[in-house]
Amino acid sequence: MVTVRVFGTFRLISGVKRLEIEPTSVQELFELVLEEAKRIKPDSKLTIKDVKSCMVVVNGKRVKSDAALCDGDEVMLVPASGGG
Amino acid sequence: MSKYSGYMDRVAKFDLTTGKLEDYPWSDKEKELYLGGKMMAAKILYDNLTGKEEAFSEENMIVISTGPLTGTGAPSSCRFNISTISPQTGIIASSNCGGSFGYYLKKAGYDALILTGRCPEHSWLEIYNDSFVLHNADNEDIWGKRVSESQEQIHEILDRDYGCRVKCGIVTIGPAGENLVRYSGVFSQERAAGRAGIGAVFGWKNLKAIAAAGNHKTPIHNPKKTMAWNKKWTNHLRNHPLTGDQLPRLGTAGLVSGMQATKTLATKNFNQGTNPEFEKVCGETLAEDFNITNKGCLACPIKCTRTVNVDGKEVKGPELETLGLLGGGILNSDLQSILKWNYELDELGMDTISAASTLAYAMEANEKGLWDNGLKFGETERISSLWEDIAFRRGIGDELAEGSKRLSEKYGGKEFAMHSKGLELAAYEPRHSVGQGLGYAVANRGGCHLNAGYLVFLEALGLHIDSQTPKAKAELTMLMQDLFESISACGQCLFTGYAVFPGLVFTQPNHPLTVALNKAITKIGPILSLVNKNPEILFFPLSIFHYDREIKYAVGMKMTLGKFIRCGERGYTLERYVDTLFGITEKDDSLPARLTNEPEDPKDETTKVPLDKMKKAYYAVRGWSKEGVPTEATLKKLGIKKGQQ
Repeated sequence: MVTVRVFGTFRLISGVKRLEIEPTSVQELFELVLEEAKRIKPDSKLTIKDVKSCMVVVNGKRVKSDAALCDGDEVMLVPASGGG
Repeated sequence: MSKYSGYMDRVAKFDLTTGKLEDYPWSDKEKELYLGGKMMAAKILYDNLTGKEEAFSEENMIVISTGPLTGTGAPSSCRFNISTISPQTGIIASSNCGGSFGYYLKKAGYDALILTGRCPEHSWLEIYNDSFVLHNADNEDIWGKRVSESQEQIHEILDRDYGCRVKCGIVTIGPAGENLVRYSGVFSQERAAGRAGIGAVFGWKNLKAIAAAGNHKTPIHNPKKTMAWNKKWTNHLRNHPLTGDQLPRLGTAGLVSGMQATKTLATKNFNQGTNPEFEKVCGETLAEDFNITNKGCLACPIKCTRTVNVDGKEVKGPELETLGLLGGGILNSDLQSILKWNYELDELGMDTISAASTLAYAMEANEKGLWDNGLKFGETERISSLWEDIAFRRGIGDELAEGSKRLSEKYGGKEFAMHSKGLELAAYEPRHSVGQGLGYAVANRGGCHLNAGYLVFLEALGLHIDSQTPKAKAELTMLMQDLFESISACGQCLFTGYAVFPGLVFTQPNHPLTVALNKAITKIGPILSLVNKNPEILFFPLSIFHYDREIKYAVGMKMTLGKFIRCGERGYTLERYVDTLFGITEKDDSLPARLTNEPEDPKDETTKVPLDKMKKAYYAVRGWSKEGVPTEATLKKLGIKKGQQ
């Protein structure tokens, strides 16, 4: 089981905060997160591109979008942000 | 008469001791070289140095300056600057503020206001066009008031005196400024020129507040083209992923989760870069559970301000720095308490960054047995009353009002007093963003994240360049500092600077172009160095860089990206030069030993700030000596006359 926590505007728009899923790769995780977003808000216009706009951090380390995932991984999806 | 629009072409110099008002000369040449805002203030302070200036002295001037774009309708252009000698650092404090005062100072007919001397009694200053009137702040029951009460009271007095609703801008201090808390700020509406203790300088001068109003209008060089360009620029900001989406929805509070992900979230007084409880005190939770709406300063389409409910009142919510430092910084995971403290600190008139960081230092000093003060990480019951004690300098509050630098000199623990040059660091842990560490150390006003060049944005939060290498960090720091300097001098919010980056690099982090950019930036130090040395090579217009044509259309001044950067370099260097006249040397460009000697991750030696190496490179690219002083050649190149004072 992989625990995913979602942040940034994607979280506010999609309504997805946290989910437990069983993806084997980051690509698969993107699809499952989108599926959950569509389940929560069926009318939303979110696409896979929106999920992919997030930085992916697995167990505290940033990974590329082609990385594999293992049982027990903790994932953060965080979009870019600015401020000061 | 000035050949440039955008300016009111008038600077007022007012002696608080005698009430004498005079015009201060500010030539077109100076407008071209220093634009306005903080760069203009640095030039005025430099030109008037007597060598006797100390924060609390009659010789210390306060310069409140606007930019040429304020009042032109340019997006996010209402900001103004206050510069003086800081009671925290002993060098130039420049503090930038939103709110409405800058706009109304120009309505009164002035680009800047220079205040000298010291009011003989507790006073507030009313400015209406040419009329400057000092009121007795005790008789009118303003001295002693909190920030919002002070502003309300002044509005009531003006409305009563003029017999109508007077539209005006007000700056005021709270009780903290009156009682010379070294990190007290100056407030306009709910916004603050919060950093470096400017409020205490007002307090020492017995000046509680200034109200400005008038019927002048900012002249615009080409109104038709300016209006069209403002519209285009505003649309660009509204469509950009950061200025049009993230900042309106989440405010700066939205940074917390990104900082956690990149280990740049200062936790437990910078002991670590992640906070296991961060989700309870992050921007998303603020937006979902507490935020009522977002709002913005005058003429701002970004609207990053949070509005929250505290004790039944709708008030400004916390920024990232406050969330980080009063959250994980002191091991507090109760968001409601941070909303309340943020409001209390604003009302008392204190900088939330320095207040929080000083508190964290005190907690760690107590934990280590250096100072028996009863303050413990995670124990938050006393904190509201502690803010009152600081503002009114009662009991332990009197000591905390001095800030972490002075406390660490008294009690020890300099290695964990998280300041540079006396100014406490913001909430960004730099050991996973070493360029930010360099910036904190060399920043003109001390440990400020923005004056630092804000490389954490490139290293962790917006882009993802190599955060641990020292390569190219000196060049990037200089470039970002100089750009920020000019943006700020125009009266513009620095957040407009995010929209200079194409949105794609933020929305598509895995796009080959984004990946290539992230990889390339730290490898092109020599190219960046070439740009820093010869910014004039950037003479061509870039569609995404809006400032040059805004200045051309609204002000009538020829501007290119390169010239803009050079102006920033001049202002930054002049401020540094003044700081060196006040005794700042290479030794002062420092960080607490925790950040340079102890890796944040004990298994990874790269997770500490390699400051000495980066600092040498930084002085070299800036054209400063090994001692950190701008060389004669550098000053000459920038048109700065050496040797005053």
